[in-house]
Amino acid sequence: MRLERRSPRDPARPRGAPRIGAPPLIALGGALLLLALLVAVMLVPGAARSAGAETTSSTDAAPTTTDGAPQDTTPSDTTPSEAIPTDPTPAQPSPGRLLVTLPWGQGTGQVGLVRPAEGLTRGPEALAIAPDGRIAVLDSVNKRVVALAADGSPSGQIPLDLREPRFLAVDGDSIYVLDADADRRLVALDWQGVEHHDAAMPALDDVVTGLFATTDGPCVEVAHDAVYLVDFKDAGQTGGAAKQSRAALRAAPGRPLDLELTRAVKATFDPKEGVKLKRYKVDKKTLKGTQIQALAPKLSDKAIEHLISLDGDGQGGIILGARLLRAKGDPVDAPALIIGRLAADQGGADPAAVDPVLADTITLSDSPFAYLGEPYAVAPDGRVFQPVGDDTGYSIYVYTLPGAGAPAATATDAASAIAGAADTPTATVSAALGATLGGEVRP
Amino acid sequence: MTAFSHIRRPRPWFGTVAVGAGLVLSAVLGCWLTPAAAQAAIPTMTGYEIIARAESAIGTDYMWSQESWVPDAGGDGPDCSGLGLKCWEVPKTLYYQEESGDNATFTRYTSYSFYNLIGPWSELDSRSQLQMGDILVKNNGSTGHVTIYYSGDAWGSPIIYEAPGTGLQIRRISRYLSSEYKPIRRDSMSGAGIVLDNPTAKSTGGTGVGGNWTRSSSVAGYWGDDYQVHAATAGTAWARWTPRLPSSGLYEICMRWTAGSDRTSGATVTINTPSGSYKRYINQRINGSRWFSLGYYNFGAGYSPASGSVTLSATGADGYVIADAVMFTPS
Repeated sequence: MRLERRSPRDPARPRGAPRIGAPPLIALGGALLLLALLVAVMLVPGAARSAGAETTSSTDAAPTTTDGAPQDTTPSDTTPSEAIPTDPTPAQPSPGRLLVTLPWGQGTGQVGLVRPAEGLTRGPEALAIAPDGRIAVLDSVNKRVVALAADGSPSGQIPLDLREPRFLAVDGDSIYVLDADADRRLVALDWQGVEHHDAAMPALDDVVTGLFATTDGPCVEVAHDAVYLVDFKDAGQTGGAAKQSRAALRAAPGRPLDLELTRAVKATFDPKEGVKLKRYKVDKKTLKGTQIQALAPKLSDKAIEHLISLDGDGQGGIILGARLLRAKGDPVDAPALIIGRLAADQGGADPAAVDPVLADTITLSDSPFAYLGEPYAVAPDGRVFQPVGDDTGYSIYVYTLPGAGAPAATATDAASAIAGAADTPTATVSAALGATLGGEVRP
Repeated sequence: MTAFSHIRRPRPWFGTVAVGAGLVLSAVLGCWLTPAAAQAAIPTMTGYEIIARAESAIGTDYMWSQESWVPDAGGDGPDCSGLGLKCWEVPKTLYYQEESGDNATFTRYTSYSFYNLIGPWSELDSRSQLQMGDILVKNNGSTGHVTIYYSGDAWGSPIIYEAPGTGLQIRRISRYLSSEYKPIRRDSMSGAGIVLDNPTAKSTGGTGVGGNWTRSSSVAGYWGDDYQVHAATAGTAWARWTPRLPSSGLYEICMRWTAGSDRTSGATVTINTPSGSYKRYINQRINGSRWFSLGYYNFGAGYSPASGSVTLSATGADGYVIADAVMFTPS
């Protein structure tokens, strides 16, 4: 027997049942609250103005400038890098550049949104950036990949035959998509939509936490710990009986820091021990790692809840991100994410003895509107791409870490292209549609 | 001892008076306290029981407004709050196959209830206090979601269980949880270790309460709220406990039952391990109401009904078979 769901507003109270003792308590509490508010407004006008500024910070995070200077994303309140900050965490989220907004829907240039009353509100569940600046959005709801040019304009879409695609990685040639839950299959395509591999994944010890592209193939990370290079040699080509072949896994020393998998990194976080990093040089033949650096970098004076990201910055350094620990009652839109850069030369000759403070940090609010996968993705050149959802659609904001210097050569063109597309209105993006990938394109 | 000793006995008169007085006192206090404070008592649970229940739902299909599933079998599953309320056993114990609609007085908690603390639970000061079996919940008035916390991984990143939505399956994943998710903890949590009570056993027979194993509390000394009984049978009748083991290694297996002369003198217990299944025979006419050791066995980490579980069978028994609780103790 199934019962009809009661109103989610107050499901525990039967219809017609009185609120126990509520009216007098509400009246008294309401009067006290009004009195307190009145006193606060009269006595502390500065506080009221400050609160107003905070509520508009999210608007500030979407600049309307169109000059496109790549370095204008530096937050004004960031501590200079030569000084050791007492609190390197800025109070306000860092400004970013709106690259594109994709409306919700199933059409071309749109991405899907599911918003159940009881369940996970979700949109695209992954975002990945190629070395040349092209962007792939994993439109999980519509079961497809939406490809964007470096300027954010949609360039095509590739349908996926996966029930729950959640992980995405790209390089200049390939797009990898993993369904780690329902189908447990890893698909390799090219940017034209041609499927090259479709392999059943071997059983893994724990949950998948990452998928990365390298020139040797995709890497899968388990529980932010073990990393495996997926070998498709045994998987065969798509088509016929070979389609459901099994992929072989080869253990790698850590997350790849470059597309060539010549460097890798591994991190741990514990509230008492903090962040621990180990950087490895990778033997390409054996995939064995030689540890070349061990660090305990400090991202913030504020407490960290957990790490979120660990990527190369395109210049030999590392970009590290974490979620800040929040206390009960903290506002939902307060900065929640901190991202910092560890330059290649930080750590010194005896790196194990140095615990560098990452001064070049940015902070971001997260996007509670819908689950959009990881709260940001780091491009091969070190730029940070943040998906943000609201009623209008799925927007991508781009941030450049302070002190990151010139982007890597491979990303210069992409950065310029993005600069020209700042604040691209949806109408403009829609007008840019038409160029499609070689595979099936949904109307 | 009669053949019906598992049927509940009448309460003594002083118990009735005490319960009546308690109800009056509760009613009076209820006028002054919040609705949450007036909630009925809920059974004590371990975090491992909550996780074992969530694990058994993996692979079932999200079904809006429902909370029942057949453990480890796929098919229809719960929605997000249905997963939460059944794993938490709130406001009452629901057996795996039991749907809330079986009881007209059932209060169906939703994400709104969890988020707004309308029930026997409370908000944690921060996510740093999260423990196995806690819930991370969001509700903004129009949409809400409930997830069950397992642990942090090497990055401290949360591993959770969730029923995500129509067309998707109940899953155990690592994913980002935005600032809207509030950490809450169920009342009456026990740190007893890897203890699984009888409601967290998959049992044979039907989709009713407890399958074809009858609930009873007539003989004292049971673990939790009650135990389950099956008469001797030549057919198939078993109950199986499967925990999610935190690490591989040697575990001592202990079992509980309530003893009586009408019980079996030789129920078969099968310990399923990665290296094979081992049979043990227990005499439930003696050694009741205590943890009875069945020996030490090597297990792998994780959740595996086939190679990380304990099964009690009523097939071929010579009396009532009692399924009460099982404990895995790492050694």
